[in-house]
Amino acid sequence: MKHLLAFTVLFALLLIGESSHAKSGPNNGCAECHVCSNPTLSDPCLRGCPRSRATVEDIKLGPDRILINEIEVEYDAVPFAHRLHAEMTAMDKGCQNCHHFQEIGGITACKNCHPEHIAEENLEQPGLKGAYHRQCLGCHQEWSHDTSCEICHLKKGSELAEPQVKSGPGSRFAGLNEPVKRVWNSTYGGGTVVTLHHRNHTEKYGVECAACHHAEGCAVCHAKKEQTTQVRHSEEALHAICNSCHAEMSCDQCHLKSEALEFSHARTGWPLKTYHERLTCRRCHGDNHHFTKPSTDCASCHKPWDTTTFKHERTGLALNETHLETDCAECHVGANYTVAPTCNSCHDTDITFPASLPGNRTR
Amino acid sequence: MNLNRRDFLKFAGATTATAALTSLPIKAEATEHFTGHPDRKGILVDTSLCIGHNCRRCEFACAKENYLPTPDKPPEDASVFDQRRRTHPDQFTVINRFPGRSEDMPVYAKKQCMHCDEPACASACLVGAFKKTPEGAVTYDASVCIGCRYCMVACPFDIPTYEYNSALHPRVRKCTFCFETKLKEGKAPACVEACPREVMTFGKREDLIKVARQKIARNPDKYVDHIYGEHEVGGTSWMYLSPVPFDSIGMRTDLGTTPYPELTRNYLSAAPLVMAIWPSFFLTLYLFNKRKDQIAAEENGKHKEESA
Ligand code: HEM
Ligand code: HEM
Ligand code: SF4
Ligand code: SF4
Ligand code: SF4
Repeated sequence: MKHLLAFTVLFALLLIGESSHAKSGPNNGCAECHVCSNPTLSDPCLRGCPRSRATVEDIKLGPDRILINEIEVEYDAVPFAHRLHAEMTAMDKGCQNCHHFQEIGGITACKNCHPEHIAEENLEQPGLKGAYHRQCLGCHQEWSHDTSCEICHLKKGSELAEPQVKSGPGSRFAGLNEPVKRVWNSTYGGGTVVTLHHRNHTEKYGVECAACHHAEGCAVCHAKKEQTTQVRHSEEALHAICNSCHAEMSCDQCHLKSEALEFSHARTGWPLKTYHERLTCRRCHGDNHHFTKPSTDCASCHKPWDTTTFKHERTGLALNETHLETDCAECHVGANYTVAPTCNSCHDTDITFPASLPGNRTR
Repeated sequence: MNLNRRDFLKFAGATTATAALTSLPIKAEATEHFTGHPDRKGILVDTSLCIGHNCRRCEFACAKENYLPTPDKPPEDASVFDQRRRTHPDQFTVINRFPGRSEDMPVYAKKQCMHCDEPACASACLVGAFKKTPEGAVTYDASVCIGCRYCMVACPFDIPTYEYNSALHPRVRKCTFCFETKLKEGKAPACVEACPREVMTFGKREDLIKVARQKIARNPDKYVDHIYGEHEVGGTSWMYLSPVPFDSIGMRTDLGTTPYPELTRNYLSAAPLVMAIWPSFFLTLYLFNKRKDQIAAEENGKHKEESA
């Protein structure tokens, strides 16, 4: 069994380490991986593994929230918003930001390698307390500069509160400094001004942060001072990012003589109002990369509806009890829903819309 | 007379040299380099990891372990860092803040006795109150101490402090490496155990040097390429890694690698031969200590780091 293991390890090393292990040896000598000075086939004396061996990238594999309670002394357990952290690391190194080593087939628990007390034979491997605190505070110090224990630890005997930040696609972490736009000056022979309407890309075009941001560390987006949140990509990197969607565009479409105007749907000849303005592009145009021209027939999106089943809340106004009973046409004269409703079928002139509402606004 | 320690050492050195020239030739003191007990323990302090503000768990743990008063400012109080603090009879270890690589990331450095391999304090002590134990600690025995405070003069790190406020049995006070309660049994000191980020690694000194080398090799951008204490003053049990140059985190970089005792040993061995200079030697020390008392009296209560 032991031989089998050793063989597997060697085989794996041969496969992955063809260049690094077999030819030149790792950067820092054998001690990088081997604890003893004469590793043999039967006793390779491998230390726990170096930080770069992690591959799992499927967020669904991870739990939403974890109670870390292995080493409670002063405080109660730490409720750790796992999913949220996993999502954020999509912009950095992914799961391996934390899970820097895994056995094949699953996540290895921290405590499987990091003992409660540092082992004398392997002083380099932090104990469990050190591993957690180095990992967590590494980022938390960097982005929030807040090191108070209570940002993670619950005081003894306190209620387990709901996590402050909700996760999920498009969620935004407190303290995020997202620029509205970025403007670059380029030396390109044509136009010299390149504009990125950043907020439009994330909020309207629905581009996930991780589509553009990789390996960037937390403080790049989360920092107290805005001036510190300036991502600086190389020219090549910037082109690669933009080209991942805009490959078909010519240079002159981005490199302009002056700052590009923000996209406005009105310029297409079809100004969007209220409800439609809040939608992301892809709700009507499908895939980000290849916009399709939607039909102007409302029914192509809005399923046929009838006045008996219509739920007025959908408009952002929940009708009160008396108005729920009222016939649509009393207010929406001639079933014309594009003009303001009228109240005077029932009320005196002192009651008008929108000064008085037949219910409550829900948004 | 306004002498500081370095002037004093220079002065003392010069007197010795003059004595050597003018009186009997002194047999060159064999500079037998002390290699130390091979298994002696040490601590590696990685200052890049220290939390500092909101933590100072090490200071509190040290106070508890050594029956010292609890530090008066709580961990949340950032004002402790406004002044650079030094060790004190009531506090064997302090965390100081220094500018780091960016304004947002200061470096916090723990200060306590370095537990030198060849302790200057021990060789300066006339009655042998200080000892380097095989485990690595430099211990102090108050029962033999005569209160001359030569140790305080001799220590290159400004560590030993004196209980000026205690009229009856004033003692010299300094970090003990938790020798009696922990180290003797091979256990890590209280401050090390208390540290949430394992800033301090406790282990065989020799292993720690390897660990430190590995850390620097793996993260050349993160650390200055130097292990402070590996060779300083002949080597210390407590060693440091830092992300910024050591002189910018309050560590002296002018000490050289010659053990301090060697500098003084030549002098002390010469002394009996040149009784003529004894009076001037004592006069110097006397004046020096008087001056120190004066400073101490002036500064009593404010535990300020004095700029030597
Ligand atoms: C998409 C990336 C990730 C995946 C797929 C993932 C998956 C997992 C899984 C399956 C577990 C085991 C849960 C259990 O045993 O109950 C786990 C535990 C854990 N994860 Fe993640 N994770 C990811 C990212 C992260 C990140 C970025 C962090 C740190 C900020 C993190 C920190 C932890 C911690 C602290 C534990 C508890 C483990 C322990 O105490 O042993 N994970 N993760
Ligand atoms: C989510 C769980 C884990 C966390 C939070 C964690 C955290 C850490 C941290 C913070 C360090 C120190 C890095 C530094 O200070 O430079 C570290 C080092 C180390 N960890 Fe983990 N770890 C986890 C899981 C594991 C697992 C599963 C293994 C073993 C298979 C492991 C093996 C090691 C080793 C060998 C080192 C020292 C060598 C090195 O830095 O490359 N860790 N870990
Ligand atoms: S306990 Fe550790 S992290 Fe906290 S202040 Fe002391 S050395 Fe720094
Ligand atoms: S640091 Fe000072 S007090 Fe501590 S052992 Fe060295 S010389 Fe002695
Ligand atoms: S080793 Fe012991 S005495 Fe020295 S600073 Fe740490 S806790 Fe205090």
